[in-house]
Amino acid sequence: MNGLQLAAAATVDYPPSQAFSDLAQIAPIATLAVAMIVAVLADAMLPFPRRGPVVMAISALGLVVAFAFAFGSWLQGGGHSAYFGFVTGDNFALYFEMLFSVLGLMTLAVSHAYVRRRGLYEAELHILTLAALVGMMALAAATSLVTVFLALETLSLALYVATGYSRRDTTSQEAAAKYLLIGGFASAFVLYGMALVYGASGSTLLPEINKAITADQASNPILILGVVMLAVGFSFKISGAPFHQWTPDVYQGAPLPVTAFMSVGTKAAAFAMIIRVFGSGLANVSTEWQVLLAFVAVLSMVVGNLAAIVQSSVKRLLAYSGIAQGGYMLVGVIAGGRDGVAAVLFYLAAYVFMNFGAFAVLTVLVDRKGEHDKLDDLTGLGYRNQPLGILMTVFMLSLAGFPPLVGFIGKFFLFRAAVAGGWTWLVVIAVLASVISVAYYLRVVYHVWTPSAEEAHLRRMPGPLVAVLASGILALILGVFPTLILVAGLTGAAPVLVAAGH
Amino acid sequence: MILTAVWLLPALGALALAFVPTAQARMVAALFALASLALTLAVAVGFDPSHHGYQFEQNVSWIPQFGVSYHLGVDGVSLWLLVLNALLTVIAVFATDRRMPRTRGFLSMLLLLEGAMAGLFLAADLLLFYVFWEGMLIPAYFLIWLWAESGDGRRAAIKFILYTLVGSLLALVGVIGEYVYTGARSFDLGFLATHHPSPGIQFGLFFLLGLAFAIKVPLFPFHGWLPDAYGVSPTAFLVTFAGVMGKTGAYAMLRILIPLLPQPQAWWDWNAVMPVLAVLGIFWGALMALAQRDLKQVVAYSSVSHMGFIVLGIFSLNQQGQQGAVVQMLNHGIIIPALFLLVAWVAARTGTRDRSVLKDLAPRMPVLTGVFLIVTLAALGLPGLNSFVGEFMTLLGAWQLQPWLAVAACVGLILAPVYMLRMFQGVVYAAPGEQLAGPLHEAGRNQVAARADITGSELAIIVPLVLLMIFLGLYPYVVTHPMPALGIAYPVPWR
Amino acid sequence: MGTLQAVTLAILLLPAAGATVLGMGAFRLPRRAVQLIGPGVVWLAFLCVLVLFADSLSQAKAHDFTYWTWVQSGSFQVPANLYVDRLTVFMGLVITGVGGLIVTYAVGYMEHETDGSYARFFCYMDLFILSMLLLVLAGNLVFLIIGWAAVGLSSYLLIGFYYWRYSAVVAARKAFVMNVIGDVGLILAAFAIFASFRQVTYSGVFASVPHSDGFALELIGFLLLVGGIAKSAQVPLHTWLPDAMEGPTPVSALIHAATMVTAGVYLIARMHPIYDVAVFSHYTAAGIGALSALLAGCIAMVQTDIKRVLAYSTMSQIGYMFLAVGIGAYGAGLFHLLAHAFFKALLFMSAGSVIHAMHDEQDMRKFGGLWRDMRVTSVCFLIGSLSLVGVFPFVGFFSKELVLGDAFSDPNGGGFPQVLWVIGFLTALLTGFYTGRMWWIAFWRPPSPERPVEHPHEAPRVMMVPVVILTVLTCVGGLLQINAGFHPGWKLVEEFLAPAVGPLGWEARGIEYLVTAATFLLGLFTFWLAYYFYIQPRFSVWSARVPRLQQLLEHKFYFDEVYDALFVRPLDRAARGGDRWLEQPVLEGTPEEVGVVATSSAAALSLTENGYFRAYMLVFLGGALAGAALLLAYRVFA
Repeated sequence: MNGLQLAAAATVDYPPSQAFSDLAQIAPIATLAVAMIVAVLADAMLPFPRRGPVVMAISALGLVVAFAFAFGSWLQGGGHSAYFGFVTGDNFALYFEMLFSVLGLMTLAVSHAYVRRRGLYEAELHILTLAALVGMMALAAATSLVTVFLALETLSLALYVATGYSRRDTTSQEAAAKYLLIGGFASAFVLYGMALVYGASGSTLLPEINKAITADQASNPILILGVVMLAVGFSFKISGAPFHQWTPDVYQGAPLPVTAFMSVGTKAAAFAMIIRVFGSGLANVSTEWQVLLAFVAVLSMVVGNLAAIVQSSVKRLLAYSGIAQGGYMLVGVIAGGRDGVAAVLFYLAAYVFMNFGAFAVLTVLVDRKGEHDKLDDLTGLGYRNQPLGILMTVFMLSLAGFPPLVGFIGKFFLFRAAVAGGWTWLVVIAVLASVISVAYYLRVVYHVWTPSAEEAHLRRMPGPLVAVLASGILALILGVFPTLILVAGLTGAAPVLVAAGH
Repeated sequence: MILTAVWLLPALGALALAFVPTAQARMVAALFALASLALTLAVAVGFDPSHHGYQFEQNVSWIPQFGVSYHLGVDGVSLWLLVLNALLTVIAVFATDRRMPRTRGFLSMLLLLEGAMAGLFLAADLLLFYVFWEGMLIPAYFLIWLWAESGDGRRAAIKFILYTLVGSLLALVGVIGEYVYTGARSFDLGFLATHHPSPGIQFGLFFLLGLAFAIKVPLFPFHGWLPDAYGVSPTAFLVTFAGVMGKTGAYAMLRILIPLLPQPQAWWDWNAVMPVLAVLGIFWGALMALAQRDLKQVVAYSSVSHMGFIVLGIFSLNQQGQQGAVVQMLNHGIIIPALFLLVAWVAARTGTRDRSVLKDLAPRMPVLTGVFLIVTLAALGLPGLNSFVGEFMTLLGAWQLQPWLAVAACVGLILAPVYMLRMFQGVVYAAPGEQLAGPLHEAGRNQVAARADITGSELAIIVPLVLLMIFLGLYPYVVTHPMPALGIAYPVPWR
Repeated sequence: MGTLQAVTLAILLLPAAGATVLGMGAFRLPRRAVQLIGPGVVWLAFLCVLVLFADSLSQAKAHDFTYWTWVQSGSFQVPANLYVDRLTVFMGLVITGVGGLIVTYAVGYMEHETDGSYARFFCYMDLFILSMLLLVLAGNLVFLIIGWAAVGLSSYLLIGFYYWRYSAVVAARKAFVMNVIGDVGLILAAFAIFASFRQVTYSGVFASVPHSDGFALELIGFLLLVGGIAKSAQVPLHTWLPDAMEGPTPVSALIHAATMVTAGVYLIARMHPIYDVAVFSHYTAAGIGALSALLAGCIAMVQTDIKRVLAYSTMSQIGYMFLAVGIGAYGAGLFHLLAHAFFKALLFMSAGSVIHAMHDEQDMRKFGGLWRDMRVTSVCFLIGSLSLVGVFPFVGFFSKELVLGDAFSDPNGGGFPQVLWVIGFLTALLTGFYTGRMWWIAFWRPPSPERPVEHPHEAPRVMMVPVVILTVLTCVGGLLQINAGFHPGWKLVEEFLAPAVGPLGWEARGIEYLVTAATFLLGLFTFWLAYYFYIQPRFSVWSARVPRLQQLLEHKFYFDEVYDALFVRPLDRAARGGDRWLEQPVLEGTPEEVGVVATSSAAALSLTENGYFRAYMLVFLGGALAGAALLLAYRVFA
């Protein structure tokens, strides 16, 4: 029997035990949702000066608990499908839930200091972050087109608002507007795609779709059109070329913590979605979406890396680098299989630390006058604050993929999977593109270590420094001992493949 | 364990330097360099020439999921390059200019580089090798760029690193391809050496891997980065940069291309192409050395020519040639630093490196002249000094492969004295048109002479190299003796 | 290590030690010490050689002393071994004996030099002796090459001794490069030998010569010959020799007379087992020898620098030696080597005395009247000259007649040796003429107006003694081997060397009496004829009649010019052109070009990033359509 009938039946009889076990599967998400509501109430009731800290504390607590739930369930070998197959608590979801919790904590640390310096309201930013996190986690856990879209919108809307958070400066407003409009456009694509897939398969549950759609259906035009539209919508979310153009503007306009958060968060969530939907839902028409994603991957790697060379703003530079990095990860997705997915999961974790760390370094430079994200603002950083300079160097080299940093190992896993999967030509393009990337990553390093005239010492900011330090150390540790995460990646990859019937 | 120490110790030294005051930086760096030299020599002493396979082996699983292991080992080939690396680093540290800015960073980068290169020579696992291969670039990049002694350091550094990376990253594809297409599911060199993919695949892999190594050597026509990079680099860095890093490429050819891809044939046979490129390089390097006026460039191009001999020996595909190549790596690593040091000292005293301006130094600095003479002779491959041994053996190998290759390469032997002597004589002897009655110091310039000659500390730096040139010329058996103790199976068995 | 072995090693170590001490202590050693060490070590080495000589007289077999393994690479195994047979001893005696005299002579000749240069000179001299000894003692090809190159090096150092004269610097480099060409010949020969015999020691190689194919041997023979002619300044690799006169006179004496240039002769004699089989290369050597003899003789007739005249006469005499060893008359060739060592050293050193007295003037047209002012030197020079011409009873007579006689009577080679004999005969006449010219002009003619010194004085004793000793040797040396012409005469040299190089392959026919007489008398005649050309101009100067010919000779047959046009200038042009047109723009420029292209395309790309929403929308839609189209195309074509 298919999903709908099952759901219908369920409305009749839904025992508490079932309810409890279902809730257990989405415990981390639920926790965050609760934390968010509590935070909203607190924000509404408490006197102004105490709001910020309290909300921050609540959010932090929520994230820790969420992580604990996820980790606990992970240790028990992962959960299973829940709510009639609409969401799941399997290892794949758990992996991302843990990742997002960590990301959330780092974001809190950074935003706290940031808003203080910029003199912005604190509480709302945390709440928005929580909302986005809920969306992201839900996206990773969603196993039905419906929940996927729900989660997608939750996360997007939160981010639209967050992008325009610093109300006083217009670039932030403009960015928000752009993001909203194009985002809406992309969501429409996704929704259309889902509708068509549903039409072709007769179900919204990914396992059902997987069963319904067999390889011989690959010639079904409705299905193919659906796949194309899904691919386009998804590509937009991972800011893959040619659907990337919003990225630099939005990254530049949004407040630094938000940029940092979404540059890695959105990507991770979107990849979770892609792998889930394409990998486990449409596995039998893989050739089709592989072609489309390969097209996006090649363009992203080339365009992203080329355009980054001439940027003068580090935020924009990192935006383009993010586009290219997305391209690398797509290579892993295309390669597919256990190794491919595991490689993507690993690289996402690596990317979280490298990229977030780099942005966190920028937040240290923030002062009341505003953000300082020009390359020239970095000049002499290595001499004004040596540890910070070294860490920035580490992040850049790691993004560039130099051993023994995590970025190298991540690339190695991706390319290894791709070559094994017979995508050598794609890998060759990828490595040649990453040669270009070295040019601009080293440009940042160059500025960091160029002796500068003014030796203005930086005011210390504990929050970001902690985040930076943590990311830096992780970038190094995971480079030397990659197995720590690799194992997790492999475990996390398993359920998707099971669903795909591999 | 000791091998881990061999590469880790310098790296730790680099780290330690971050915590010592600049005043003690030189001393601390020297201590670490000497310590690692001592360690390396301990390995060399403990090395057993009769034992085949890796020695002092350490094999720990690193990424078991993909068959990557932390596998270190030393054998007859890597042994000497290790020693060279440690020795030259010591010399580099002592040769570091006291007036150099940010000495601490410089020294720590030098040590980091030593560590990376030591690891590269020790690696017995393809991916581990690659990790060190890439890691090596970072300190090199900083050293070229931040401490460029002249010219546009940033440009040269970027050119160097990007040019090298094109090769290196393709090599990553090659490394993975080796893993995938051998079906070995392991990166262990010894294992891969016994599982060869089909010639067609080998052909492709040879290109992917070989390009990286050829660029690093550099093999003609991939030497475009070298003149700029050598031109701007500070001398102390050049000691290890030119002395050891060039060898890593040749070592990689001998350690990876030869055993892992014995018959790379599809549209053509790479093994037949490489020797030709090598001979072209020998000739081209010599020709370009003739055209240069900047002493540093003359030396740089001469090294292009010399590396040609090494590659020629490696791809002569017989024991004499390949062992000769190793001998030549060692010799070249001894000679080139000496040349760069001398050029730097001359430049420091005269304020120029222009061959057409310099002259008449002999009467003012007789000691420098004497040393310079010996080094020059070694560099042009005078029989009886070390370089001859390597050149003779590599050419002997080439002759056994294709006599005409050896004959063509001999053009290099004939051109070497032309440009080397022109450089040496131009610097220390009379300039065109001069027909003086006697040495200059008879014209009352001996005050200059008294002051200008090289100092005792400088002498102490270069004398070890000079002694090695003579000793290895007379008793190369020391070097060739342990070589047959190979770590992995070779297509050409060395007995 | 047996006594003999130790002694053999000592022969090398003594000059080595001398050179090292002198080189290191150049500025601290007192002059006295230098004068003691310099020649001293050579004489000590001479004593050691005498020990070997005594041993070799007692028994004929060769020693092969191995000291250590030089290198080992698979089957390529080279011991550091020294090979001592009678040929080695013979050469050793010449090198250390005559060499010793020359070094002693230098003590006086170089006294005007500053302390530094003085020590430096003797350092070089000892190095030279060392190299030559290594060359003749080497027991395998690699060590032969090492010695060979070391000789080239020390000659480079000695020629460039006056480094404050650019001409000297250039001459030195020229000599070195020419010699390297020879070294390369030897190196290739070594490769060929190893390729066909799998070993490089003399004993091993010679043992396996009989059973190996002819072509390989011919190839080896020719390659060895390249080395030989480069070192011995034979055509066409002779051009460095006259320029080598830039060095101080004892150098010239040493380089030419005694040792360096005779190395080629030694090489052929040493490799006789190969050459006895490789007929073509063997006769090539002879032919080159004869040719060089003739050309050098012609050129010598127009030279005005006394040392250059001697240089060309040397080249000519070496030609005789090549001729001899080339046809297999090793005994004759080596005897001529010995004789030549005596009288040419004598000539150079007495010429040196003259130049010394003339304050370094070398143009003999500016001498004259020396017979009156420097009687002893003149007599010595005359004796040397006559010996060079081949006048009885001087040693030159016996050796030269032996060479020509053997060539004349050689039954093999289908008449080729006889052709060579004709050339040799003509050369002998030329020899008489240019020697006479030199003698009459420099010594006999009344003092020339521009003679730099009014009352030249004889050389100091330390210079005189060696000259006199050599004079005596030149006079009595012939007694070693009087069978030239007098067949029932004894032939000590040939008999001594026979075990090493084999006896003469044929018997003299006996009618060389006439030949001998003719050569000797006509030689004397041309010597005397020169008198009428240059002293009593009964005939106007011949060169005036044939200006073309004179031009040809004065340009030394245009060898230098041709080499310049063929190699030197094209090489420079190629170097500069290559650097300008290929290296800079392509090999080094390309990466930068790529960088530029990337940057500019990036700039172009960022233009699309114009911030306009509508533009983004267009791209978005375009991308979507493109993706769909691609998928369509894929499904159609794949």
